Amino acid sequence: MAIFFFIFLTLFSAVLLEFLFGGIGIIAPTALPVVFYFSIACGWRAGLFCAIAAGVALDAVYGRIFPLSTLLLSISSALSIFWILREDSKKLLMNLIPAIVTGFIYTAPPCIIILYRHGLDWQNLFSAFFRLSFGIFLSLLLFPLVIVFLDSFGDSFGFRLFRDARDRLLKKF
Amino acid sequence: MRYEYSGILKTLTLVTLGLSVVIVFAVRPLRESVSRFSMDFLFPYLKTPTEVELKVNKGGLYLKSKINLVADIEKLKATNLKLAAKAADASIFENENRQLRTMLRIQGRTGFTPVQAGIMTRDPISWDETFVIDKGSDDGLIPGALVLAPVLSGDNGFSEAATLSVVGRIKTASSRSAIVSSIVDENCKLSVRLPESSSAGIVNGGLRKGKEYFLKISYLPKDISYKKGEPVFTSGFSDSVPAAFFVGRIRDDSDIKIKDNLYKEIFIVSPVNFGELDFVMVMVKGQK
Repeated sequence: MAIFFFIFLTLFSAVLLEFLFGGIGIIAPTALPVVFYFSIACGWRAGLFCAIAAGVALDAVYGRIFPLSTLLLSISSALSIFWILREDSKKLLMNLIPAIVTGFIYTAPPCIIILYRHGLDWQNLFSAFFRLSFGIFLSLLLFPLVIVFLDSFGDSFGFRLFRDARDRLLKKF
Repeated sequence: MRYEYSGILKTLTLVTLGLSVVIVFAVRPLRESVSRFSMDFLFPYLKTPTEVELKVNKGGLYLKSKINLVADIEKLKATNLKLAAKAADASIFENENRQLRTMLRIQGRTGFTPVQAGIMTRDPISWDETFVIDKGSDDGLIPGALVLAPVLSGDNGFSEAATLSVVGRIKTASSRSAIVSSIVDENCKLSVRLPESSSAGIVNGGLRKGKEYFLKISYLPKDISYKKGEPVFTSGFSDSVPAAFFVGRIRDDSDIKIKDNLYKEIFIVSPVNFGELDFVMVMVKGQK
């Protein structure tokens, strides 16, 4: 039961932070590292559920007709499962690769949509490039921080940890 | 056998989750219910930054010197006097207008009350098109209600001093907040009237060019000529939209096009800067 509260509170804070950044026009992928963490630490079902819950909340409050955030977070969750099958979760710095890839996947489509809506000129191109770079940079910054923070928190409560995910997976097979 | 079972379970979970998302977003009433629930649930947290900002602004007053505060009060007094004189002047016309309407048996834009609302959050993807405000159905807001914003003189080259201009319409309203769809959004339709040429059309989305916002009016009679600078107002054909609120002006003759040899399409320029709005006014029907 405690793990559900842990997931809920973490995801809730991440979504709220994304709303706060969104309110000042910044596409900040704050829910992304949390979805990535739980997809690997708690399994693909929990990860996908987190992606859908966070995505639906984001899309619903923004009043979007197309569930963009839900789709992009679900894709990122699926990619994180693929990542843990390939790479060791103990190497913290190696997680910068999925941070770049998922950060790009999560930030690029909104940037393209904005560019399409505002028209293709130098100012809009620069603005879209800046948004994309900032999104990826934030993702690079948040991934290791979230992993370290949630692992240390989970360790003290006896939850399943990110750093042991690969070992658990190998044991299972 | 165990692996086969886990494979089926995996597929079932995936299909269920996928279907639930598709159903939520494909069925409009369900999407709106989810939207209302999420908005109400997150309302106190989304409202906090705006409240903190207001408190910090108020707190900033304590840091001002007494001399500056006195100067501000003097300025406000002068503005107050000017506005009071204007209001007194307007009340004469209001009475005259009411009498004339009664004589001619024309219904006025009665029964609407303005509700002031602050913008809580915006979607960075559709910054100019949709935003969330801090008033909802508890304050009488209903989907389709007209949203206005004050336009200061000189904004976007408009000469109308401190007038109200149309921003959009309420898309979804939860009990404490609502989503506004601006008239730049092509999903927001608004019936408008061009009194100088005695014609009516429908605002059907718009576009941004630099700092200016252009709105597209479709279905205008093709055999009527429209002049540059002609004002456009709300028609009031809809029950939830009051008539005679300023929408924009025809910028140039070149913005007029004939579509499918059936109707004219015009681009008008709006005085509202949709990207920099902080407060709006919602016209609510049947409230005092």
